[in-house]
Parts: sequence; structure tokens; C-alpha cells
Amino acid sequence: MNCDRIRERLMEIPVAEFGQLESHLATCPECRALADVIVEAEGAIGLALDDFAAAGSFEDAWQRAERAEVVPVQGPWARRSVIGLAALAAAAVLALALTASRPSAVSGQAGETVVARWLGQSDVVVSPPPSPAADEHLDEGTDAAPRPGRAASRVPRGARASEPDALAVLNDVSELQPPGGDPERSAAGDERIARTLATCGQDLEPRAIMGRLDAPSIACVEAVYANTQRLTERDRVSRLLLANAWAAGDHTRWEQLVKRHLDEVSRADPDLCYKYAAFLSRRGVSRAEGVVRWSEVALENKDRWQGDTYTTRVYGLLKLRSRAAELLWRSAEERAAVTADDEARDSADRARALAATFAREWLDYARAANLDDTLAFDLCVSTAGAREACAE
Amino acid sequence: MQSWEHMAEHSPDEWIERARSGDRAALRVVAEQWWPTMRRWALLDLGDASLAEDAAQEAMVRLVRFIGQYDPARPFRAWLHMVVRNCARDVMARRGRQGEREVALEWEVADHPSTDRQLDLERHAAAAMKAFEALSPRQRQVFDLCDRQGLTPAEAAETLGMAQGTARYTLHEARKTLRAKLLAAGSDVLQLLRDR
Repeated sequence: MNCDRIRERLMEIPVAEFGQLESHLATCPECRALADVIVEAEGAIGLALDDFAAAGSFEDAWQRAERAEVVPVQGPWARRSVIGLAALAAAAVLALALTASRPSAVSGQAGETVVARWLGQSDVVVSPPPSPAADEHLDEGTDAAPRPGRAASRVPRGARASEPDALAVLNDVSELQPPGGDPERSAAGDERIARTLATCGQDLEPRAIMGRLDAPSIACVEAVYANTQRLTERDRVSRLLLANAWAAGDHTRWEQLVKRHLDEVSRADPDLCYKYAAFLSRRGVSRAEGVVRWSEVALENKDRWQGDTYTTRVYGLLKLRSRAAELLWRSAEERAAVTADDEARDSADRARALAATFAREWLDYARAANLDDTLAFDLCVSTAGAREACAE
Repeated sequence: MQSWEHMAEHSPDEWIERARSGDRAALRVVAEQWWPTMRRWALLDLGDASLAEDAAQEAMVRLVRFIGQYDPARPFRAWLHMVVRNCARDVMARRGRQGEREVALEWEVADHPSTDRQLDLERHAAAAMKAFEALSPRQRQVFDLCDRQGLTPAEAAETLGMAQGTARYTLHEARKTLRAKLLAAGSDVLQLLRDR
């Protein structure tokens, strides 16, 4: 193999397989140098992670967890562990001391600054300003798509079903009924909260479904919410208000309520998370991060769906997430083109990589479920930059 | 009280099953076994050591509280990963509500006298961490599971709840991005190595 091919391989294969290239590396100092940089750097990363993983005291964590079982407590838990950070950063240096047989240097910022920045920094958030071109609905054009008339999973192979409408969930989901029920809900709790809610008026649920709770009833239910400590009971009260706001067409209030529900009550209902993601997807690029976030949360609880609902919902979420990531990527590219600085370029690269990963996941699922994969394939090619990357 | 040394008395699955059915000592053994992994996953997800400490602790609380809800038909690793990931999200959400952290986290190596060699090593470590930072959380996780922990892409996919094809693709992208960043950041590295 020549040097070009070797370097290509060095960029692709795991370090553990570099031995396969030893016959070339032994005779080529330049390729050997490349291999050394990769081995040393990846070793440093691995040791830094090992050190962080091993630095936390299990005994402390266990005791806090046992105490929290008795008295529910919310984080932050730990004393700020400067020791843990120092150990993590030191591990990166130690790794090099152990693996490097000679001094080497990498251009860039001073070590302590960059390492500390990574350790002290949260995930990069791409928040580009909305632009007229990008501020379009993520799923525009799909509202009119027909609902699948049969289960995608039952479509004969070779005859792919049309893609499910990702936004149909806005009308399908009833806030009052979480999928699979609530395992923590108890008959005693139901009875207790029903008695309390009865003080706010009769037939609250039917009226909420119609969006016809009047202002005094809403104020009363809000007061019940504020005075209810048990999460399962809060859940029921919150859902009543959510159903009413949606049915009444008060989407601004609905959004406030759903944010409160997801922050304060529970985010375990994938239907609600999906509905919120779909709702945000109609608000343009400025809300695209929210679409990605809530799609992911919904996907984490996808096991609560079954059968056709599972297929349709998972497909819809993967699509919403991919389209949102695409918007973020395009927006980041626009910003990089305008500002022409390295940070913006890095942001755009990261956004592209994320969009590519999501598109690939959407494509894989569409193929596995035998659904129309045209849009997913196009997006995959667009983000990966090559058709081969999206082959079956 | 049983401890990690007693792990060999039963298979890992047996310990988990005992923990699931309410055996507190078994739960402690399982928790101790997985604690470093939980911390590692939290850091890979959040890219922030301080937040990762909180997320891992919260995951420990949920492990203790909800082990009974674990479905043994699914891999325990995947279930626990989902628990950690949910905690990481919650920690991020709380941070979002509270604004930026007040705690200044500094690695104050600059306060200590450094030799040229130490500085070189620190710079190299810094470049490695910076390149790693450039990966998405998902890429960091797949890369760590496969290239550092030795899992196959299929096992990583199962752990992370993604398709195998996606895991393979993500791993490929992660390696390529990481190495390209490393080499781009160190334009003088090759020269230095040539001169050695």
C-alpha cells in the first residue's frame, strides 16, 4: 500500500488495528508519526475518562442515594469536586507522560485553558438568529399527507407504505390518557384527587376535553395543582389543564402548561413529549433545538407504545428530529459563511455531523419498518455528502 | 454487608435479578459495579465534569429507587444507560433554569512551575481534549464504547438504543472527525516528530 492509502486507513480504523499496517509504518517515518499522534491522543482521552470514572466515591454516592429514598432531595448533590477535575485533567497529561517516549507539542491554546474549558463547559448550543430563509416550518408540506391506512409493519416487502404524517400527533394525542397508563397511579390517589377536584365543579374532564372550563374552574384547578404534593396527583390535575387549553385553541397557554408539566411533574409520557416537539416544529429554526430535545426525550420512552402506534410515532419523531437538525445545520452554515471565523465553522461542522447521524437513524428506521424512505435518503445524502454513505 | 469482592459468588445477571427482587445487599453490589460506568456515561453525555457529578449521583438515586421496574428481557446496560441519560437531561434542564453556574472550575496548572516538557505534554493533552470536545455527545459515546471499552458496534447500538447501521456510521464519523481535528490542530506535530 502507498502512503495515501495508509493515511486513509489510519483515519478510519481503530487504534487496536494499527498493527495491521506495521510493515509500512516500520519503513515510513511520516506515516509512523501520524499513527503516533493518534495513538497518544486517543490514549490520553481514554485515561482522562478512566480517571473521572474512578474518581467518585461510591460510598458517598450510595449513602446519598439511600438518604434520598427516605427524603426526596433534588440535586445538586456533590460538593464541587475540584479533586475530580484535577484528577481528570492530570490524567490526560499523565497519559502522555506514560505513552510518549519523547517531547512533542501540539499548537493551540495553553493546556490548562483548553482542558478546563472542556471540563467546565456544557454542550455547545447552536442558537443562530432566525433568518427568513431558515425560519420555515420544519414539516411544512406534510400536514396534508394522508394518514397511513394500515400498519406500516404489515406492508408486504417491496411495496413500501407512504410515510406517516409526523404532525398528526397534534390531533391524535389526548393529554388525559398517557399511553400504557401510569404504573404509579393508585386507586386511593385517584379517589383522593377526584374528591379535591370535585370542589372546582362538576364534570371537569368532559368540559376540559371540549375546552370549556370557565375561568373560576381553571383558577380552582390551578390552586389544587399548587397545593398537591404527590406527583401522580399533580400529573392528573396538570393534564386536565393541558387538555382544556389545547381544546380551547389557547396554544400560548398550552405551551406554558406543557413546559411546566415536563419540568415539574414528569417527562415520562412519550405522547406529550412528541406533541410538544411537533408543536415546536411549527415555530421555525428558533425552536429547532427544542424539537431535537423533546423528540429525544420521547424516544427514550418509546417502549410505552405498541404495534402500529409504535411504528408511526417512532418514525414521526425521527423525522421531526432530523428535519430540526437539518435546519440547525443550515442556519449554522449561513452563520459560518457570514462570520468566517473558526468557531462558527466548528459549530457548523458539529451541526452537520449531528444532522447526518439523525438522518441516518431516520433512514435506517424507515427501511426497517418498510416505510417510504425517499425523504430520509435525500437528507442522509445531503448531510453525509455521499450517496454511498447512505447505502443499505 | 456484601461488597464488590463478593461479585464472583453469582453471575452479573444473578446479582441484578436479586437486586430487582428487593435484595438490598445485591443492589449495593450492582450499584458499586456500575458506578464508574455511570460517571463515565454522564461525562460523555454532558461534556462537563461538574454537571456529570450531579447527573451520576441522580442516576444512583434512580437506580436504587427504580431497580424493581427494570425489565430483564432488555439488556441491563441499555436500561441503565437510559437512566443516566435521563438524569443528564434533567441536570441540563435545571441548569438552564438556574442560569450559568457560579462555580468557577479551573485547572490551575499555570500556577505551578512547568518544564518545557510538561508544557508540551499539557498542550498535547489539551489538543486531544479539544478535539474530543468537537464530537457530538452521541459520537463521544459510541467512540468510547467501541474504541476505548472494546464493545462491538452491535453492542454499542444495543446500549445506546440505536440501529446497528447508525452505530457503525457514527463510529466512523467520530474517528474521522476526531483524527482530522487532532491533525489539523497540530500542524507542527509532524514536524516535531520528524525531528525527534
